[in-house]
Amino acid sequence: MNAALAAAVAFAAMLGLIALRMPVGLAMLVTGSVGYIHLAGLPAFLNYMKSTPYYLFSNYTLSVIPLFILMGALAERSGLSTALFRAAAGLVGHRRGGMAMAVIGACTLFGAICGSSVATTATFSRAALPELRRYRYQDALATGTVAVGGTLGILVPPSVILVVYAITTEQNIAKLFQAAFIPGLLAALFYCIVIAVVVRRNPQAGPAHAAVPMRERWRALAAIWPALIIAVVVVGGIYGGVFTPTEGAAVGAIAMLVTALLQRALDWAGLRQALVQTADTSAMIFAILLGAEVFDSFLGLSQLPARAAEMVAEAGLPPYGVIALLLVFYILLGAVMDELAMILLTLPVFFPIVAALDLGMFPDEVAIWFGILVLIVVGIGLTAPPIGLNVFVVSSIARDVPIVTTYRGVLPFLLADIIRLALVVLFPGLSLVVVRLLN
Amino acid sequence: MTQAGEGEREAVVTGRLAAWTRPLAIAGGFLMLAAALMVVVSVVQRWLTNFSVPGDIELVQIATAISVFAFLPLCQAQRGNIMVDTFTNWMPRRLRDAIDALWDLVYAVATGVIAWRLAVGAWETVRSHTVSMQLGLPIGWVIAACAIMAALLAFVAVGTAVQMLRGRA
Repeated sequence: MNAALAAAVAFAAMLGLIALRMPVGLAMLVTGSVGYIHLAGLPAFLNYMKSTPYYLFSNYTLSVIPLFILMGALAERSGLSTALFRAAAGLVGHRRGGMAMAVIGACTLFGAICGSSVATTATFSRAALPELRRYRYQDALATGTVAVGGTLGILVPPSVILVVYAITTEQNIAKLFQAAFIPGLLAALFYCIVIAVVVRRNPQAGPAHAAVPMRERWRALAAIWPALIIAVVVVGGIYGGVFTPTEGAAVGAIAMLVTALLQRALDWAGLRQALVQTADTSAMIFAILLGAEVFDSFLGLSQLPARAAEMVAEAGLPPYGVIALLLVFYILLGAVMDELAMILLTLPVFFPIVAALDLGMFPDEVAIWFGILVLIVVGIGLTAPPIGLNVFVVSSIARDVPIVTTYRGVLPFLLADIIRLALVVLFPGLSLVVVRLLN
Repeated sequence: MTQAGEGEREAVVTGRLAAWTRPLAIAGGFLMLAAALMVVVSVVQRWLTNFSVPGDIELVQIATAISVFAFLPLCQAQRGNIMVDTFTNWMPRRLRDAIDALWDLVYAVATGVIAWRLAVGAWETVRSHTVSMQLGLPIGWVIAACAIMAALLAFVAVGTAVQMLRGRA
């Protein structure tokens, strides 16, 4: 059996095992191991396994992941999400649909101190949903907004997904964070426009109410300064090259811990909970990273990615057609599959294909631009039916709202996502201009 | 894909497996916090004096590896690993549990192999007196600690398989 065929068979076997409930990381580990042994022999594999798990987990770049997750877990318990939401609600909440827009605004800022969409969704489900209900917002708009707002956790840098992309494709994390800046703000803007359109067509969805007094607005705004400072220091420090992403994450995590302790929002039990959550989420990601590492090594041996890139290049397809096909594939796959596993599975094959396309840009710019496109489709996958992780998170907290209702609320936002994706595809400058300015 | 809802997962992690996977994970979390604190000191010191804490990168690397291995048993005990249940929801509960138990056993074998290979790697590293570049820390012993936690992980996976086969009460 030739090597590329072996890789194709292994891919099929892995997808079969995943469909049969095998955990994604384990499926990659098992099929990758069998493939590795088939191509390189058992002694080579045993030798490979002697050091790989340790050296993978002790990779300095990867250490940014548990640190960002820790920062998010502490932020979730620091009371900052409530403060951000109150401040935004004080500004625009009294307008029609304003409370929903306040969720988006607060999520955008929270996204700058949290790199995880699940953490963002969970914290705003608790902080904002009860308020939205108190002001008689309809369920679909309320839960839909929180589910979509949660994606801003990754769309606005820092972003765990971009870190994983950077590591898989050997790109610069700081540049990817820079490139995500404008598309992230664009997402927030588009979501607010969607809310405005929804409440215009159905004023009952998000009724207006009396504004809070000026004095209280100022007080609410004054309460968010810790969040602002942390966001500016962490994101600004990474953008400006003052520190590495790992250092930024460490500074952010400690700053968040200190803030939470000073505000007496975090007790001993809360700290333990934050650490357990960090442990669970980090372990989940690293288990998949290990499986992906072994599977990728096998793919590398098989030379399937290089062959696939050659084939696509020789087929003479229009470059933008290839990009469009890949993105459609990602949207479909993301609807039924975990997004992190999806990019780890596909990037080793897709990235060489994209890198070989002649798009009239510098190769490293293509890599960064494609990273932002992947980030956007991941965001879509997090909320799109039937399997949208953010929607599940909202449902697990707002148990009385049927999941179908939340999906109905998400739909208009998905339309905005597709438009934003098309804009970033057609105008690569939207993602690249900040990178060019800062470097 | 799904992970079980938060409430459901809390229920799974009670019992004997919870008794020590949780403290181990929390210890790993504190190690990560300590590493973060060291990085902050390093960044501030670099800002003031142009010199970082010596070996800061090495310390972060070692802390991350140990922490992640300390996190993994908890994740398995909580059945937190990402899986796709879209295509198997029609199956009877007992069958699904049996499949999950089977994969837990496969996971136990896989992590058992990892523990074995890491132990061999640790032994060789200790014998060759390989130390870290800047601080001269004995990396072999760090790998050995990871090997032990990988073995614990294999043990937990057997435990969750047994839980699954007995039926989650």
